[in-house]
Amino acid sequence: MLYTGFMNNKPNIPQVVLPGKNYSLLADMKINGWLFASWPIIFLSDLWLFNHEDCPLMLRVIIALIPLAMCLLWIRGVARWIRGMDELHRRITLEACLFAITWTFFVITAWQHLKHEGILEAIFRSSHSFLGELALGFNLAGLTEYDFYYPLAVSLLCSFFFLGHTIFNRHYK
Amino acid sequence: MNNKPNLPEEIGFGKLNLWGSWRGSLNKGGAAWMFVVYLTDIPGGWLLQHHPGWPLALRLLIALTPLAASLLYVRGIALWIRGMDELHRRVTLGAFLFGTTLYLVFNAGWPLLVRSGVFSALNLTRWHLDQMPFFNCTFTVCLTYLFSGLGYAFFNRRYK
Amino acid sequence: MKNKLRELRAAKEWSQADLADKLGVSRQTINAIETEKYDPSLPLAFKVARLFKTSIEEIFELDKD
Repeated sequence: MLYTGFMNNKPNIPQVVLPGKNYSLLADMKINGWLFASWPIIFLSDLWLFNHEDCPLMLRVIIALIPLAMCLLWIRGVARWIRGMDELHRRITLEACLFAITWTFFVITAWQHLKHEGILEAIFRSSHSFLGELALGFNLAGLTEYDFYYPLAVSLLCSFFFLGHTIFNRHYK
Repeated sequence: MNNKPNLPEEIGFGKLNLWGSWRGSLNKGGAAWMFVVYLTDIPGGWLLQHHPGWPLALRLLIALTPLAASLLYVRGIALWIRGMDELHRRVTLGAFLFGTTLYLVFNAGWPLLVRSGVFSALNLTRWHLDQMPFFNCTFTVCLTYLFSGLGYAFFNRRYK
Repeated sequence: MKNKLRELRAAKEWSQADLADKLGVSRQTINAIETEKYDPSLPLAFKVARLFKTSIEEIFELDKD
C-alpha cells in the first residue's frame, strides 16, 4: 500500500499538527495520542514509585519504563504518519525532525554540561536580580533533572519542529 | 577538494578499523572538530572542578568551548553529507537521525531506571551506573557516534 | 531541473489541485515542481509522463552544468 493515510486515500499533510487553518485536533490526537497520554502517566508513575519503594524490583522497573514505552509508540506513530505523506512533505518533515532532534539534543546536553560545571547557578547568583533569585528558587538550573527532563525534552522537540518546519517549508514556496 | 562524492566509510562507518579511519579522515566529516571536543572537554572539566574560584567569564569560556566545537562538528558533518551522492546521503542522514533519536531516548530512559532503583537493587552503583555522565560532551559525542554507526549498518543493509 | 509541467497542465485546463489529486501528491508538490524548486522522484516523474501520455524527457530537462 503506497499510502498509510489515517482517514482516506489522500496523502497525510504536516499542516494538521501545525498551528494554522489546516490544524485538526482529531488528527493531532491520532498522531500524537501516545505523547499526550504519556504526560499524566509519567507523573503518576513517579508518584507511585515514591509511595511504593518496597515493591518488587521488576514491577518498579516496569512502572518506571511505561512512559518510555509510550514515547517509543509515539515515535512509531509519527514514523507511520510521515511514511503516508507525499514525497515533498516527507522531505520537509524529515528535515524538520532532524533539525528538532539535533537542536533538542544540543540544548539538553549544553544545559546539563553547564549545570554540572556550576556555571548556571553562578550566572543566576551573580545576576543580583529578581529574575536570578527566581531562577534559583525554582531550581531552573535543575531543569534537566529527572523530574523535569521529559517535559523539557518534549517541549523543546515540538518547538524546534515547528521552527524547523517553518524554515524548510519556506524554501519550497 | 575533488569531484568524487564523499563516502560514509571515510569516517569509519561500515569499517572495523575505526582508529585507522579516524586518523586518515581528520579533514572529513568534521572529525577534526570531534577531537577538539575531546581535547577541550576533559581538561576543561578538570580545570573547572579544581578552580571554582576563577572568574565567571573565564569559567563560562572554558565550559562553552567544547559546546562550540560540537556545533562546528555538526556543521562539518552537514557539509560532508551535502557532498555525498544521493543514496549515501539518504543512508547517512537516516543513520544520524537514528543515532540522535536513540541517544535522546537513552538519555530520557536512564533516569527512569535510576528512579526505579534497579541499579541500587542489583548493586550496580559501585560502577556508578546510576551516574551516567550525560553532561559530558565526550561521552555524548562518542555514544551518538556509536549509535549512528549502528544506524548506518542497519540502513545500509537494505541497499546491499 | 526545467520542466513543462505548467504548460501541459494548462493545456488540459487542470488546476494544480486537480493534477495533484490525479498523481496522488499534494498541491504544494505540484507547485514546487512547476516553480523548479523541487525535483520529483523517478516514480513520480514516470507517473507524470504516463498521465500526459508522453516521455519523461519531453517533460523534464536536465540543467546544463
